[in-house]
Amino acid sequence: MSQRKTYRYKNLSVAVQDNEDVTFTVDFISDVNTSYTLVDIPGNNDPEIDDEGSALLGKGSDLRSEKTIVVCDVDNLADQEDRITINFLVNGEVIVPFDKPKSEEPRPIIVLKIKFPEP
Amino acid sequence: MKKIFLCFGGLILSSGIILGQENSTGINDIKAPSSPASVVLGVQPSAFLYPKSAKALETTLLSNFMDENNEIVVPDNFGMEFSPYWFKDHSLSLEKYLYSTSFEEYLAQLWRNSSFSIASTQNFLLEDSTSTNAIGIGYRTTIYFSNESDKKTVASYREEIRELKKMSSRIIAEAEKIDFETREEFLEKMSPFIRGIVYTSFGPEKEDQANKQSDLVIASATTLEFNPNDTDSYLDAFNAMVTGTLSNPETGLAADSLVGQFKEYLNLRDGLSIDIGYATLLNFPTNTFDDTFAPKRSLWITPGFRFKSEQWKFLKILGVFRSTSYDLDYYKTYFPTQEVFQTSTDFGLAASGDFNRISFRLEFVSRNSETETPTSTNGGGTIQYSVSKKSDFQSIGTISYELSKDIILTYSLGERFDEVLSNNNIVSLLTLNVGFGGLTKSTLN
Repeated sequence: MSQRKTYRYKNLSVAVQDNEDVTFTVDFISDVNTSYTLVDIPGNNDPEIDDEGSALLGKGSDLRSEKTIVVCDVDNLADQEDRITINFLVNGEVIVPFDKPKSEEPRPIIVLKIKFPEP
Repeated sequence: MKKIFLCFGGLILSSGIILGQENSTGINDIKAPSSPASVVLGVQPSAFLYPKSAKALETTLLSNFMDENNEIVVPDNFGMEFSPYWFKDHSLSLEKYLYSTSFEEYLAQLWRNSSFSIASTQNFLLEDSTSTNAIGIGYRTTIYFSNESDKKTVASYREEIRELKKMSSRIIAEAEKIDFETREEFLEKMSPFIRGIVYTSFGPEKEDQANKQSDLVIASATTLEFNPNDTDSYLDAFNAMVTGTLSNPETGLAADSLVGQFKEYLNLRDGLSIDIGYATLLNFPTNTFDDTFAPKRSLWITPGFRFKSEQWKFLKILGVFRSTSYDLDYYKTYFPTQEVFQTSTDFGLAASGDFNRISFRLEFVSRNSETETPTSTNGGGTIQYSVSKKSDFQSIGTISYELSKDIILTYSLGERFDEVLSNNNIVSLLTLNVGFGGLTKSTLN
Protein backbone atom coordinates (compact mmCIF):
# COMPACT_ATOMS: atom_id res chain seq x y z
CA MET A 1 0.00 0.00 0.00
CA SER A 2 1.39 3.38 -0.96
CA GLN A 3 2.00 6.07 1.62
CA ARG A 4 -0.84 8.54 2.25
CA LYS A 5 -0.06 11.99 0.87
CA THR A 6 -0.03 15.15 2.94
CA TYR A 7 -1.07 18.30 1.09
CA ARG A 8 0.51 21.19 2.94
CA TYR A 9 -0.55 24.81 2.41
CA LYS A 10 1.94 27.05 4.20
CA ASN A 11 2.09 30.80 4.49
CA LEU A 12 -1.64 31.35 4.43
CA SER A 13 -2.55 34.72 5.87
CA VAL A 14 -5.90 36.26 6.71
CA ALA A 15 -5.97 39.79 8.15
CA VAL A 16 -8.47 40.17 10.98
CA GLN A 17 -9.31 42.97 13.43
CA ASP A 18 -8.48 42.49 17.11
CA ASN A 19 -12.12 42.22 18.15
CA GLU A 20 -13.31 40.38 15.04
CA ASP A 21 -14.76 36.87 15.43
CA VAL A 22 -12.88 34.38 13.29
CA THR A 23 -14.79 31.42 11.91
CA PHE A 24 -13.22 28.50 10.07
CA THR A 25 -15.35 26.40 7.69
CA VAL A 26 -14.94 23.07 5.93
CA ASP A 27 -17.25 22.86 2.92
CA PHE A 28 -17.54 19.60 0.95
CA ILE A 29 -18.10 20.15 -2.75
CA SER A 30 -17.71 16.63 -4.13
CA ASP A 31 -19.92 13.78 -2.91
CA VAL A 32 -19.67 11.39 0.05
CA ASN A 33 -16.61 12.85 1.72
CA THR A 34 -16.04 12.27 5.42
CA SER A 35 -13.40 13.98 7.50
CA TYR A 36 -12.19 14.89 10.93
CA THR A 37 -10.67 18.38 11.21
CA LEU A 38 -8.64 19.67 14.11
CA VAL A 39 -7.92 23.40 14.29
CA ASP A 40 -4.89 23.87 16.52
CA ILE A 41 -5.15 27.49 17.74
CA PRO A 42 -3.07 29.25 20.42
CA GLY A 43 -4.26 27.98 23.81
CA ASN A 44 -5.93 24.77 24.83
CA ASN A 45 -9.41 24.96 23.30
CA ASP A 46 -8.76 23.57 19.85
CA PRO A 47 -12.01 23.36 17.86
CA GLU A 48 -12.90 20.19 15.92
CA ILE A 49 -15.16 19.77 12.91
CA ASP A 50 -16.72 16.41 12.07
CA ASP A 51 -17.21 16.16 8.32
CA GLU A 52 -18.20 19.64 7.18
CA GLY A 53 -19.29 22.70 9.12
CA SER A 54 -17.94 25.76 10.90
CA ALA A 55 -16.08 26.41 14.14
CA LEU A 56 -15.48 29.68 15.95
CA LEU A 57 -11.74 30.11 16.52
CA GLY A 58 -12.03 33.20 18.74
CA LYS A 59 -11.23 36.90 18.38
CA GLY A 60 -8.52 38.06 16.00
CA SER A 61 -6.30 39.24 18.88
CA ASP A 62 -6.34 35.69 20.38
CA LEU A 63 -4.86 34.18 17.21
CA ARG A 64 -1.74 36.25 16.74
CA SER A 65 0.78 34.61 19.05
CA GLU A 66 1.50 31.62 16.77
CA LYS A 67 0.37 30.03 13.53
CA THR A 68 -2.93 28.20 13.50
CA ILE A 69 -2.48 24.65 12.20
CA VAL A 70 -5.43 22.90 10.57
CA VAL A 71 -5.25 19.13 10.07
CA CYS A 72 -8.07 17.67 7.96
CA ASP A 73 -8.00 13.87 7.59
CA VAL A 74 -10.27 12.99 4.65
CA ASP A 75 -11.85 9.80 3.35
CA ASN A 76 -14.18 9.40 0.43
CA LEU A 77 -16.48 6.42 0.72
CA ALA A 78 -18.16 6.29 -2.70
CA ASP A 79 -16.48 4.27 -5.42
CA GLN A 80 -18.41 6.29 -8.01
CA GLU A 81 -16.85 9.60 -6.90
CA ASP A 82 -13.50 10.23 -8.56
CA ARG A 83 -12.50 13.57 -6.99
CA ILE A 84 -12.11 15.05 -3.57
CA THR A 85 -13.15 18.69 -3.69
CA ILE A 86 -13.31 20.66 -0.47
CA ASN A 87 -13.29 24.40 0.17
CA PHE A 88 -11.65 25.73 3.32
CA LEU A 89 -12.95 29.14 4.35
CA VAL A 90 -12.19 31.80 6.94
CA ASN A 91 -15.06 34.19 7.66
CA GLY A 92 -16.83 33.04 4.50
CA GLU A 93 -13.87 33.59 2.16
CA VAL A 94 -12.25 30.58 0.48
CA ILE A 95 -8.61 30.42 1.53
CA VAL A 96 -7.86 26.98 0.02
CA PRO A 97 -9.93 25.34 -2.70
CA PHE A 98 -8.76 21.72 -2.48
CA ASP A 99 -9.50 19.69 -5.60
CA LYS A 100 -7.61 16.48 -6.38
CA PRO A 101 -8.47 13.27 -8.19
CA LYS A 102 -8.81 10.20 -5.97
CA SER A 103 -6.45 8.43 -8.33
CA GLU A 104 -3.72 10.75 -7.01
CA GLU A 105 -4.60 10.22 -3.34
CA PRO A 106 -7.83 8.59 -2.16
CA ARG A 107 -7.30 9.57 1.50
CA PRO A 108 -5.55 12.96 1.65
CA ILE A 109 -4.24 14.55 4.83
CA ILE A 110 -4.62 18.31 4.35
CA VAL A 111 -2.56 20.68 6.49
CA LEU A 112 -3.13 24.45 6.50
CA LYS A 113 -0.78 26.85 8.31
CA ILE A 114 -2.56 30.16 8.78
CA LYS A 115 -1.40 33.48 10.20
CA PHE A 116 -3.95 36.06 11.37
CA PRO A 117 -2.15 39.42 11.24
CA GLU A 118 -3.73 42.80 11.83
CA PRO A 119 -5.04 44.49 8.68
CA MET B 1 -1.78 -14.82 1.24
CA LYS B 2 -3.07 -15.01 -2.28
CA LYS B 3 -4.15 -18.53 -3.15
CA ILE B 4 -4.39 -20.36 -6.40
CA PHE B 5 -6.89 -23.18 -6.02
CA LEU B 6 -6.66 -25.98 -8.49
CA CYS B 7 -9.23 -28.69 -8.99
CA PHE B 8 -7.04 -31.66 -8.12
CA GLY B 9 -9.34 -34.47 -9.02
CA GLY B 10 -12.94 -35.43 -9.60
CA LEU B 11 -14.74 -38.68 -8.82
CA ILE B 12 -18.05 -39.90 -10.11
CA LEU B 13 -19.90 -41.56 -7.25
CA SER B 14 -23.12 -42.45 -8.98
CA SER B 15 -24.42 -42.76 -12.47
CA GLY B 16 -23.71 -39.14 -13.11
CA ILE B 17 -21.57 -37.24 -15.49
CA ILE B 18 -19.02 -34.59 -14.82
CA LEU B 19 -20.47 -31.42 -16.21
CA GLY B 20 -18.32 -28.56 -17.37
CA GLN B 21 -18.71 -25.30 -15.48
CA GLU B 22 -19.51 -23.50 -18.71
CA ASN B 23 -22.69 -25.55 -19.07
CA SER B 24 -24.03 -24.90 -15.60
CA THR B 25 -26.78 -22.38 -14.99
CA GLY B 26 -26.44 -21.57 -11.34
CA ILE B 27 -27.71 -18.59 -9.42
CA ASN B 28 -24.58 -16.64 -10.28
CA ASP B 29 -25.34 -17.00 -13.97
CA ILE B 30 -28.80 -15.50 -13.77
CA LYS B 31 -28.48 -12.77 -11.12
CA ALA B 32 -28.19 -9.16 -12.28
CA PRO B 33 -24.82 -8.79 -13.99
CA SER B 34 -22.47 -5.88 -13.37
CA SER B 35 -22.60 -5.03 -17.06
CA PRO B 36 -25.97 -6.04 -18.55
CA ALA B 37 -24.86 -4.81 -22.00
CA SER B 38 -22.00 -7.28 -22.33
CA VAL B 39 -24.12 -10.14 -20.94
CA VAL B 40 -26.92 -9.64 -23.45
CA LEU B 41 -24.29 -9.33 -26.19
CA GLY B 42 -22.63 -12.54 -25.03
CA VAL B 43 -19.18 -10.97 -25.35
CA GLN B 44 -16.97 -9.69 -22.55
CA PRO B 45 -14.86 -6.85 -24.00
CA SER B 46 -11.23 -7.04 -22.96
CA ALA B 47 -11.24 -3.40 -21.88
CA PHE B 48 -14.10 -1.44 -20.38
CA LEU B 49 -14.17 2.38 -20.32
CA TYR B 50 -15.77 4.30 -17.45
CA PRO B 51 -16.18 7.98 -18.45
CA LYS B 52 -16.66 10.07 -15.33
CA SER B 53 -17.93 13.30 -16.87
CA ALA B 54 -20.29 14.38 -19.61
CA LYS B 55 -17.29 15.63 -21.59
CA ALA B 56 -15.45 12.32 -21.20
CA LEU B 57 -18.61 10.45 -22.25
CA GLU B 58 -18.94 12.59 -25.35
CA THR B 59 -15.29 12.03 -26.24
CA THR B 60 -15.59 8.27 -25.68
CA LEU B 61 -18.67 8.00 -27.90
CA LEU B 62 -17.27 10.19 -30.67
CA SER B 63 -13.87 8.54 -30.76
CA ASN B 64 -15.28 5.02 -30.81
CA PHE B 65 -18.52 5.27 -32.79
CA MET B 66 -17.40 7.77 -35.48
CA ASP B 67 -14.80 7.05 -38.12
CA GLU B 68 -12.51 9.58 -39.79
CA ASN B 69 -15.29 10.40 -42.34
CA ASN B 70 -17.72 11.16 -39.52
CA GLU B 71 -19.69 8.03 -40.37
CA ILE B 72 -21.22 6.01 -37.53
CA VAL B 73 -19.45 2.69 -36.98
CA VAL B 74 -19.84 -0.17 -34.54
CA PRO B 75 -16.54 -0.59 -32.69
CA ASP B 76 -15.13 -4.06 -32.15
CA ASN B 77 -14.54 -5.49 -28.68
CA PHE B 78 -15.77 -2.29 -27.04
CA GLY B 79 -17.35 -1.77 -23.63
CA MET B 80 -18.25 1.27 -21.54
CA GLU B 81 -20.31 2.05 -18.48
CA PHE B 82 -21.31 5.42 -17.08
CA SER B 83 -23.36 6.79 -14.19
CA PRO B 84 -24.79 10.23 -15.08
CA TYR B 85 -25.52 11.22 -11.47
CA TRP B 86 -21.79 11.26 -10.69
CA PHE B 87 -20.96 13.61 -13.57
CA LYS B 88 -21.68 16.59 -11.28
CA ASP B 89 -20.97 17.49 -7.65
CA HIS B 90 -23.91 17.60 -5.26
CA SER B 91 -22.15 17.96 -1.87
CA LEU B 92 -23.91 14.72 -0.96
CA SER B 93 -23.30 13.70 2.65
CA LEU B 94 -22.55 10.12 3.69
CA GLU B 95 -25.87 9.95 5.55
CA LYS B 96 -27.88 11.04 2.50
CA TYR B 97 -25.87 8.62 0.39
CA LEU B 98 -26.56 5.70 2.71
CA TYR B 99 -30.08 6.25 3.99
CA SER B 100 -33.37 6.88 2.23
CA THR B 101 -36.44 7.56 4.34
CA SER B 102 -39.03 8.94 1.92
CA PHE B 103 -40.30 7.95 -1.50
CA GLU B 104 -38.44 10.89 -3.04
CA GLU B 105 -35.20 9.78 -1.38
CA TYR B 106 -35.64 6.23 -2.67
CA LEU B 107 -36.15 7.63 -6.16
CA ALA B 108 -33.01 9.73 -5.70
CA GLN B 109 -31.11 6.63 -4.56
CA LEU B 110 -32.35 4.69 -7.58
CA TRP B 111 -31.02 7.42 -9.88
CA ARG B 112 -27.73 7.71 -7.94
CA ASN B 113 -27.09 4.00 -8.36
CA SER B 114 -28.12 3.95 -12.01
CA SER B 115 -25.54 3.06 -14.59
CA PHE B 116 -25.81 2.59 -18.33
CA SER B 117 -23.59 0.21 -20.25
CA ILE B 118 -22.81 -0.23 -23.91
CA ALA B 119 -20.87 -3.12 -25.41
CA SER B 120 -20.28 -3.89 -29.06
CA THR B 121 -18.59 -6.38 -31.33
CA GLN B 122 -17.99 -6.87 -35.05
CA ASN B 123 -17.87 -10.60 -34.52
CA PHE B 124 -21.39 -11.58 -33.47
CA LEU B 125 -21.74 -14.94 -35.19
CA LEU B 126 -24.97 -15.97 -36.85
CA GLU B 127 -25.71 -19.66 -37.13
CA ASP B 128 -24.08 -19.87 -40.57
CA SER B 129 -20.90 -18.42 -39.00
CA THR B 130 -21.34 -15.00 -40.61
CA SER B 131 -19.64 -12.29 -38.55
CA THR B 132 -21.97 -9.37 -37.93
CA ASN B 133 -22.03 -6.15 -35.94
CA ALA B 134 -23.95 -6.12 -32.69
CA ILE B 135 -24.45 -3.74 -29.79
CA GLY B 136 -25.68 -4.44 -26.28
CA ILE B 137 -27.30 -1.58 -24.35
CA GLY B 138 -27.90 -2.06 -20.65
CA TYR B 139 -29.13 -0.38 -17.50
CA ARG B 140 -28.56 -1.33 -13.91
CA THR B 141 -29.42 0.03 -10.48
CA THR B 142 -29.62 -1.05 -6.86
CA ILE B 143 -32.07 -0.04 -4.17
CA TYR B 144 -31.01 -0.51 -0.58
CA PHE B 145 -33.50 -0.47 2.29
CA SER B 146 -32.21 1.08 5.50
CA ASN B 147 -32.46 -0.79 8.79
CA GLU B 148 -31.42 -0.15 12.37
CA SER B 149 -28.75 -2.84 12.44
CA ASP B 150 -27.00 -1.30 9.45
CA LYS B 151 -27.21 2.17 11.00
CA LYS B 152 -25.61 0.87 14.19
CA THR B 153 -22.79 -0.79 12.25
CA VAL B 154 -22.13 2.39 10.25
CA ALA B 155 -22.20 4.54 13.41
CA SER B 156 -19.81 2.15 15.14
CA TYR B 157 -17.28 2.32 12.27
CA ARG B 158 -17.61 6.11 12.13
CA GLU B 159 -17.02 6.55 15.86
CA GLU B 160 -14.04 4.17 15.95
CA ILE B 161 -12.41 5.89 12.96
CA ARG B 162 -13.14 9.33 14.44
CA GLU B 163 -11.44 8.49 17.75
CA LEU B 164 -8.29 7.32 15.96
CA LYS B 165 -8.23 10.37 13.68
CA LYS B 166 -8.67 12.62 16.69
CA MET B 167 -5.55 11.12 18.26
CA SER B 168 -3.44 11.12 15.06
CA SER B 169 -4.52 14.66 14.04
CA ARG B 170 -3.30 16.03 17.40
CA ILE B 171 0.10 14.43 16.84
CA ILE B 172 0.25 15.63 13.21
CA ALA B 173 -0.70 19.20 14.19
CA GLU B 174 2.12 19.29 16.75
CA ALA B 175 4.60 17.82 14.28
CA GLU B 176 3.64 20.43 11.69
CA LYS B 177 4.05 23.21 14.25
CA ILE B 178 7.51 22.54 15.67
CA ASP B 179 10.81 23.69 14.16
CA PHE B 180 13.51 21.06 13.76
CA GLU B 181 16.67 20.50 11.76
CA THR B 182 17.48 16.89 12.54
CA ARG B 183 15.47 13.74 13.10
CA GLU B 184 16.87 13.51 16.63
CA GLU B 185 15.66 17.03 17.41
CA PHE B 186 12.24 16.18 15.97
CA LEU B 187 11.95 13.01 18.06
CA GLU B 188 13.21 14.74 21.19
CA LYS B 189 10.46 17.34 20.87
CA MET B 190 7.75 14.94 19.71
CA SER B 191 8.25 11.85 21.90
CA PRO B 192 6.79 13.30 25.14
CA PHE B 193 3.92 14.78 23.16
CA ILE B 194 3.13 11.46 21.43
CA ARG B 195 3.19 9.63 24.78
CA GLY B 196 0.92 12.25 26.36
CA ILE B 197 -1.66 12.21 23.57
CA VAL B 198 -1.85 8.41 23.33
CA TYR B 199 -2.05 8.04 27.12
CA THR B 200 -4.84 10.65 27.33
CA SER B 201 -6.77 8.95 24.52
CA PHE B 202 -6.45 5.41 25.93
CA GLY B 203 -7.00 6.32 29.60
CA PRO B 204 -5.02 5.17 32.63
CA GLU B 205 -6.55 1.66 32.59
CA LYS B 206 -4.84 0.98 29.24
CA GLU B 207 -1.47 2.45 30.15
CA ASP B 208 0.46 -0.60 28.93
CA GLN B 209 -1.18 -0.49 25.51
CA ALA B 210 -0.64 3.27 25.35
CA ASN B 211 3.07 2.78 26.07
CA LYS B 212 3.37 0.02 23.46
CA GLN B 213 1.71 2.13 20.77
CA SER B 214 3.76 5.21 21.64
CA ASP B 215 6.95 3.12 21.51
CA LEU B 216 5.90 1.76 18.12
CA VAL B 217 5.21 5.22 16.65
CA ILE B 218 8.50 6.64 18.00
CA ALA B 219 10.47 3.61 16.82
CA SER B 220 8.89 3.83 13.37
CA ALA B 221 9.70 7.56 13.21
CA THR B 222 13.39 6.78 13.75
CA THR B 223 13.44 4.54 10.66
CA LEU B 224 11.90 7.08 8.25
CA GLU B 225 14.25 8.60 5.72
CA PHE B 226 15.36 12.09 6.72
CA ASN B 227 16.74 14.77 4.43
CA PRO B 228 17.71 17.98 6.29
CA ASN B 229 17.06 19.97 3.10
CA ASP B 230 13.55 18.60 2.73
CA THR B 231 11.94 18.20 6.14
CA ASP B 232 8.47 18.27 4.54
CA SER B 233 9.15 14.84 3.00
CA TYR B 234 9.96 13.52 6.46
CA LEU B 235 6.73 15.02 7.81
CA ASP B 236 4.77 13.46 4.93
CA ALA B 237 6.12 10.03 5.84
CA PHE B 238 5.61 10.68 9.55
CA ASN B 239 1.96 11.72 9.09
CA ALA B 240 1.20 8.65 7.00
CA MET B 241 2.98 6.39 9.50
CA VAL B 242 1.01 7.84 12.44
CA THR B 243 -2.40 7.25 10.81
CA GLY B 244 -1.35 3.76 9.77
CA THR B 245 0.12 2.77 13.14
CA LEU B 246 -2.10 4.07 15.93
CA SER B 247 -4.77 1.48 16.53
CA ASN B 248 -7.87 0.91 18.58
CA PRO B 249 -6.76 -0.73 21.86
CA GLU B 250 -9.80 -3.07 21.78
CA THR B 251 -9.68 -4.28 18.18
CA GLY B 252 -6.04 -3.61 17.34
CA LEU B 253 -7.13 -2.00 14.06
CA ALA B 254 -5.55 1.22 12.78
CA ALA B 255 -7.64 3.90 11.04
CA ASP B 256 -6.25 2.86 7.64
CA SER B 257 -7.46 -0.74 8.13
CA LEU B 258 -10.77 0.38 9.62
CA VAL B 259 -11.53 2.64 6.66
CA GLY B 260 -10.77 -0.29 4.33
CA GLN B 261 -13.13 -2.54 6.31
CA PHE B 262 -15.78 0.16 6.40
CA LYS B 263 -15.67 0.55 2.62
CA GLU B 264 -15.95 -3.23 2.21
CA TYR B 265 -18.93 -3.26 4.54
CA LEU B 266 -20.65 -0.48 2.56
CA ASN B 267 -20.50 -2.69 -0.52
CA LEU B 268 -22.10 -5.62 1.36
CA ARG B 269 -24.42 -4.02 3.88
CA ASP B 270 -26.76 -5.89 6.22
CA GLY B 271 -30.39 -6.02 5.24
CA LEU B 272 -32.41 -6.03 2.05
CA SER B 273 -31.22 -4.75 -1.30
CA ILE B 274 -32.61 -5.23 -4.78
CA ASP B 275 -30.52 -5.20 -7.93
CA ILE B 276 -32.38 -4.40 -11.14
CA GLY B 277 -30.92 -4.75 -14.61
CA TYR B 278 -32.26 -4.48 -18.14
CA ALA B 279 -30.52 -4.97 -21.45
CA THR B 280 -31.35 -5.20 -25.11
CA LEU B 281 -29.36 -6.61 -27.99
CA LEU B 282 -29.15 -4.87 -31.36
CA ASN B 283 -27.88 -6.87 -34.30
CA PHE B 284 -27.11 -5.71 -37.82
CA PRO B 285 -27.05 -8.95 -39.88
CA THR B 286 -26.01 -7.19 -43.11
CA ASN B 287 -23.64 -4.88 -41.22
CA THR B 288 -25.68 -1.83 -42.24
CA PHE B 289 -28.05 0.20 -40.13
CA ASP B 290 -30.84 -0.49 -42.68
CA ASP B 291 -31.13 -4.02 -41.28
CA THR B 292 -31.50 -3.54 -37.56
CA PHE B 293 -33.00 -6.12 -35.22
CA ALA B 294 -33.59 -6.09 -31.48
CA PRO B 295 -33.72 -9.88 -31.12
CA LYS B 296 -33.26 -10.28 -27.37
CA ARG B 297 -34.21 -8.36 -24.21
CA SER B 298 -33.49 -9.37 -20.64
CA LEU B 299 -34.74 -8.11 -17.30
CA TRP B 300 -33.06 -9.09 -14.02
CA ILE B 301 -34.40 -8.52 -10.53
CA THR B 302 -32.25 -9.82 -7.69
CA PRO B 303 -33.36 -9.30 -4.11
CA GLY B 304 -30.73 -10.22 -1.55
CA PHE B 305 -30.77 -10.29 2.21
CA ARG B 306 -27.85 -10.35 4.61
CA PHE B 307 -28.53 -11.20 8.23
CA LYS B 308 -26.89 -9.29 11.05
CA SER B 309 -28.14 -11.02 14.20
CA GLU B 310 -25.69 -13.37 15.92
CA GLN B 311 -28.14 -16.26 15.52
CA TRP B 312 -28.55 -15.90 11.74
CA LYS B 313 -25.52 -14.00 10.52
CA PHE B 314 -23.98 -17.20 9.11
CA LEU B 315 -26.79 -17.29 6.53
CA LYS B 316 -27.07 -15.41 3.26
CA ILE B 317 -30.18 -15.61 1.12
CA LEU B 318 -30.45 -14.53 -2.49
CA GLY B 319 -33.43 -14.62 -4.81
CA VAL B 320 -33.20 -14.07 -8.53
CA PHE B 321 -35.64 -13.43 -11.36
CA ARG B 322 -34.68 -13.18 -14.99
CA SER B 323 -37.02 -12.79 -17.91
CA THR B 324 -35.73 -12.90 -21.46
CA SER B 325 -37.82 -12.33 -24.55
CA TYR B 326 -36.78 -13.21 -28.09
CA ASP B 327 -37.80 -12.05 -31.56
CA LEU B 328 -38.75 -15.41 -33.07
CA ASP B 329 -38.78 -14.12 -36.67
CA TYR B 330 -35.16 -13.06 -36.28
CA TYR B 331 -34.11 -16.41 -34.78
CA LYS B 332 -36.02 -18.38 -37.44
CA THR B 333 -34.12 -16.45 -40.11
CA TYR B 334 -30.61 -16.32 -38.64
CA PHE B 335 -30.58 -19.29 -36.22
CA PRO B 336 -32.96 -21.67 -38.02
CA THR B 337 -32.07 -24.87 -36.14
CA GLN B 338 -31.92 -23.39 -32.66
CA GLU B 339 -34.83 -24.07 -30.29
CA VAL B 340 -35.88 -20.61 -29.07
CA PHE B 341 -39.01 -19.68 -27.13
CA GLN B 342 -40.67 -16.29 -27.19
CA THR B 343 -40.08 -15.79 -23.47
CA SER B 344 -37.93 -17.58 -20.94
CA THR B 345 -38.33 -16.91 -17.24
CA ASP B 346 -35.97 -18.07 -14.49
CA PHE B 347 -36.75 -17.99 -10.79
CA GLY B 348 -34.00 -18.93 -8.37
CA LEU B 349 -33.31 -19.06 -4.69
CA ALA B 350 -29.94 -19.65 -3.06
CA ALA B 351 -28.93 -19.99 0.56
CA SER B 352 -25.36 -20.28 1.76
CA GLY B 353 -23.71 -20.45 5.13
CA ASP B 354 -20.53 -21.20 7.04
CA PHE B 355 -20.01 -23.13 10.27
CA ASN B 356 -16.38 -23.19 11.26
CA ARG B 357 -14.74 -25.46 8.63
CA ILE B 358 -17.95 -26.49 6.91
CA SER B 359 -19.76 -24.37 4.36
CA PHE B 360 -22.83 -25.18 2.34
CA ARG B 361 -24.76 -23.77 -0.55
CA LEU B 362 -28.21 -24.75 -1.83
CA GLU B 363 -29.53 -23.51 -5.15
CA PHE B 364 -32.90 -23.94 -6.77
CA VAL B 365 -33.64 -22.54 -10.21
CA SER B 366 -36.90 -22.96 -12.09
CA ARG B 367 -37.15 -22.16 -15.80
CA ASN B 368 -40.33 -21.69 -17.78
CA SER B 369 -40.20 -21.04 -21.51
CA GLU B 370 -43.17 -20.45 -23.74
CA THR B 371 -44.20 -19.32 -27.19
CA GLU B 372 -47.62 -18.04 -28.22
CA THR B 373 -48.47 -18.52 -31.88
CA PRO B 374 -51.60 -16.92 -33.43
CA THR B 375 -53.67 -19.69 -35.05
CA SER B 376 -57.04 -18.21 -35.99
CA THR B 377 -59.47 -15.36 -35.41
CA ASN B 378 -62.91 -16.07 -34.00
CA GLY B 379 -66.13 -14.39 -35.05
CA GLY B 380 -65.69 -11.51 -32.60
CA GLY B 381 -62.30 -10.65 -34.07
CA THR B 382 -60.37 -12.05 -31.12
CA ILE B 383 -57.11 -13.74 -32.11
CA GLN B 384 -56.71 -17.32 -30.87
CA TYR B 385 -53.24 -18.52 -29.88
CA SER B 386 -51.63 -21.89 -29.47
CA VAL B 387 -49.07 -21.99 -26.68
CA SER B 388 -46.02 -24.24 -26.53
CA LYS B 389 -44.34 -24.46 -23.13
CA LYS B 390 -41.32 -26.03 -21.56
CA SER B 391 -40.57 -26.16 -17.85
CA ASP B 392 -37.40 -27.29 -16.19
CA PHE B 393 -35.92 -27.29 -12.73
CA GLN B 394 -32.43 -27.37 -11.34
CA SER B 395 -31.42 -28.02 -7.75
CA ILE B 396 -27.87 -28.41 -6.56
CA GLY B 397 -26.49 -28.71 -3.05
CA THR B 398 -22.81 -28.27 -2.29
CA ILE B 399 -21.03 -28.94 0.95
CA SER B 400 -17.36 -28.12 1.55
CA TYR B 401 -15.05 -29.13 4.35
CA GLU B 402 -11.78 -27.32 4.96
CA LEU B 403 -9.34 -30.16 5.66
CA SER B 404 -6.54 -27.67 6.21
CA LYS B 405 -5.79 -24.07 5.36
CA ASP B 406 -4.98 -24.99 1.75
CA ILE B 407 -7.08 -28.11 1.12
CA ILE B 408 -10.83 -28.13 0.70
CA LEU B 409 -13.00 -31.18 0.00
CA THR B 410 -16.24 -30.40 -1.84
CA TYR B 411 -19.21 -32.59 -2.71
CA SER B 412 -22.04 -31.51 -5.00
CA LEU B 413 -25.27 -33.41 -5.51
CA GLY B 414 -28.34 -32.46 -7.48
CA GLU B 415 -30.12 -32.27 -10.75
CA ARG B 416 -29.36 -29.88 -13.58
CA PHE B 417 -31.47 -28.54 -16.41
CA ASP B 418 -31.98 -31.04 -19.22
CA GLU B 419 -29.11 -31.13 -21.66
CA VAL B 420 -30.09 -30.88 -25.30
CA LEU B 421 -27.93 -33.82 -26.33
CA SER B 422 -28.12 -35.89 -23.19
CA ASN B 423 -30.83 -37.20 -20.92
CA ASN B 424 -28.33 -37.60 -18.11
CA ASN B 425 -28.60 -34.58 -15.83
CA ILE B 426 -27.71 -35.95 -12.38
CA VAL B 427 -24.81 -34.18 -10.70
CA SER B 428 -22.72 -36.07 -8.17
CA LEU B 429 -19.23 -34.71 -7.95
CA LEU B 430 -16.50 -34.96 -5.37
CA THR B 431 -13.58 -32.58 -5.77
CA LEU B 432 -10.44 -31.85 -3.86
CA ASN B 433 -9.10 -28.30 -4.10
CA VAL B 434 -5.46 -27.77 -3.23
CA GLY B 435 -4.15 -24.24 -2.79
CA PHE B 436 -0.63 -23.12 -3.44
CA GLY B 437 0.81 -19.83 -2.25
CA GLY B 438 0.90 -17.12 -4.86
CA LEU B 439 4.09 -15.51 -6.06
CA THR B 440 5.81 -13.44 -3.44
CA LYS B 441 8.30 -10.63 -3.82
CA SER B 442 11.09 -12.92 -2.63
CA THR B 443 10.11 -15.57 -5.19
CA LEU B 444 10.30 -12.99 -7.93
CA ASN B 445 13.62 -11.75 -6.67
